Amino acid sequence: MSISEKYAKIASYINDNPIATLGTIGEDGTPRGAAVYVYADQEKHTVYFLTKNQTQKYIDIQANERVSLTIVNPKENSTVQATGKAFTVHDSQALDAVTKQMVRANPLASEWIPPVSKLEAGQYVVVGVKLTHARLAEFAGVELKREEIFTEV
Amino acid sequence: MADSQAYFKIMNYIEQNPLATVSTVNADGTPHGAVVYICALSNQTVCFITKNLTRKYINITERPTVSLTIGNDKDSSSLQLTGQASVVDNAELMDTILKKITQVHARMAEWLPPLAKLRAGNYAIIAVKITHARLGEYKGLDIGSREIFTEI
Repeated sequence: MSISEKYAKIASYINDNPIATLGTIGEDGTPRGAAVYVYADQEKHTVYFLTKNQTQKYIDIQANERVSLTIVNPKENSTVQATGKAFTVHDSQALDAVTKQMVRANPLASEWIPPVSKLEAGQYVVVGVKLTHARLAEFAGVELKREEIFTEV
Repeated sequence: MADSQAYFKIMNYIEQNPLATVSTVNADGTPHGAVVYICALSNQTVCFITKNLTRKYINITERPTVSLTIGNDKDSSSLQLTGQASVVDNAELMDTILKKITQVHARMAEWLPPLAKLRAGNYAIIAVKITHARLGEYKGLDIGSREIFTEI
């Protein structure tokens, strides 16, 4: 499988399973995790999410741009583990894409309004994560300890 | 809400939502996330099983501060924990946790948990002593409501 095909497969997985745990590192070196809705752009190798500029995750990102993204699909027995560099997006196209993705994901949830909109934590910001590494693991139907479990870029 | 009530509520949430992301710190200071099944060990401690050649295990033995994150999109809720991790050597506990994981997986399409399919050394128990926890329950609550969070 070519690199672009691997990116396409991983981006497709992310967009089918758009709830991720964002891992950041605080200024004191403490790891923190937060649940975010994500949208993957396979061409740009970038994953986007919406947050607010006074949340702890956003403050952490300003101090340390290196983040992790982790997704699980328990029914399919699969996960994505990714790392990348986070940046604030000032691109209206990306903002539009992330908003559409959240609207698409949220009808599946019990509430129309996503959790971030209920937080009093400043102004909305879109954050992009340029992926530096990603590993999709698909365990269903695969025998023990087989290399076919992983798709890695 | 008293701390004991808050701990009870948070441990109950974990029992209902045992799939978590553990975030650890790599040697170069970058974060690493991995999916684990967690269960309550005592009032203020949770645990999970991994293997001793995984990245998370190596990170924990060198830098024990970790976070655990659970998200439940159906309930519009999430739990964010931080704590200190340590390796526990207890065969009886290992048996108990493996039984719990097997019970969870027995209801799924595949009865073997993902960890069992990884070539990554021997099984190990990791306990996490909670130093901070915040449960966010957003369902049905107004914007900015103080009732969203249960925090310890």
